[in-house]
Amino acid sequence: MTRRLMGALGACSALGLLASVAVAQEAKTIQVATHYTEEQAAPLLECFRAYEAEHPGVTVEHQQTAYGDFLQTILTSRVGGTAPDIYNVYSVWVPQLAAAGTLEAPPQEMADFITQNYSPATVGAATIGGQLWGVPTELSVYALVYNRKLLEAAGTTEPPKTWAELREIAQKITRTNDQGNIDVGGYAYGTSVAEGVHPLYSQMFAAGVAPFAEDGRSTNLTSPQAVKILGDQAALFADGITSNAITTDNFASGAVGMQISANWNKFGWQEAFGDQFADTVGVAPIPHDEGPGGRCSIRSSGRWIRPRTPRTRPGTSCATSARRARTGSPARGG
Amino acid sequence: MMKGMGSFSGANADLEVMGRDADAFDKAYLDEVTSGRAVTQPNIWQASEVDRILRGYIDQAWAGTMSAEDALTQADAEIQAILDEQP
Repeated sequence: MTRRLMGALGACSALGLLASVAVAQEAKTIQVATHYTEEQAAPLLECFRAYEAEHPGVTVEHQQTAYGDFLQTILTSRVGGTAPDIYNVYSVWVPQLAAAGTLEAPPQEMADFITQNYSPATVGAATIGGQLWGVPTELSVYALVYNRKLLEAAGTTEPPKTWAELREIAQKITRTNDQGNIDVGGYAYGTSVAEGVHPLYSQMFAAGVAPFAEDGRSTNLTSPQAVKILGDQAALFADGITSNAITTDNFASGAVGMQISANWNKFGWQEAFGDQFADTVGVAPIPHDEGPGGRCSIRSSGRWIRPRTPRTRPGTSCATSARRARTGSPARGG
Repeated sequence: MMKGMGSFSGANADLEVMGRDADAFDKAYLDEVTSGRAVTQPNIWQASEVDRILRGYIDQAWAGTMSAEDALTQADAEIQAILDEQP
């Protein structure tokens, strides 16, 4: 079995749990909304067809929305009563969606399945204030990614374990042209919000300090560890080891020595490096200066989740929706 | 599907199967998860806005227009105001 198929089946099984709930609650057409492109969603569509084959009379529809528009679409569709039965949402949106009463908590059977079959950290990524929201799907794990060939050219085959080592290696890798611009950066950061924030969070975890208090009501950004980490990052810019002109996007062209990145970048790097991928791209725990006990990565999780909203569409009983509106009972994607 | 998207499944059984034939790249990331070193990114109130604010101050520290301490102190103050809005 290929891993592609395995992954699809894994996602199918989790999605099937939610779909079964929707079917049990009278829907014959199950609408599933994701931000995946058609190409990305192709294996998922195979899951839908397989589910339909196993459940005659049930149709599963895929609603694709661009990532940048997805959160607004969720909120708008709820107001308009056109919400789908199941969303695949980014975890960071869930606190607001849950607080707004937009989401339906999973039934006990599903909650039991998740707690029994997912690691505590994964379950934690889908939990807010002790309440589980949805089925975890994707994991994003952060680690140090390095260009093996550039490290070897700098005289080392071992990735750095501390920030001091990282800085020393990065300095050896960095090459500047006659105009003073960096052609090859020893280290790089990205231009997006996440590409600046997630490495800082990851380094804080590695240093043994969570970015936020456990109750989510305060930060640890002014901790000595966080200040040192950001100061060390800034020093890479001040000392010409990195710049805004050499970014994580340049890793694929072999112009970056090291960066903190998530696992989901693999596909692009495989395309870029081809049969040299394994000989070029290395992964190591995030360097830190807090001894061997430091935690070394963070992760977030997407999840399948059901909206709590009445809706009316072909195949749905208008009378049922009206009854729900009158009684105030939770809508069940009917 | 998960591989095609460059991602990992969250289910223990999937991760176990993925680990059996993982290449060095995947194995390094999987080790973070299965070893317990990976910790959960907190579900923070208004996370997108919090991250946007923090990124702005990180940029100022990188650019040398603010010290790391001042940047994070300012970021903390603005983020705290947002966190205080949550129910």
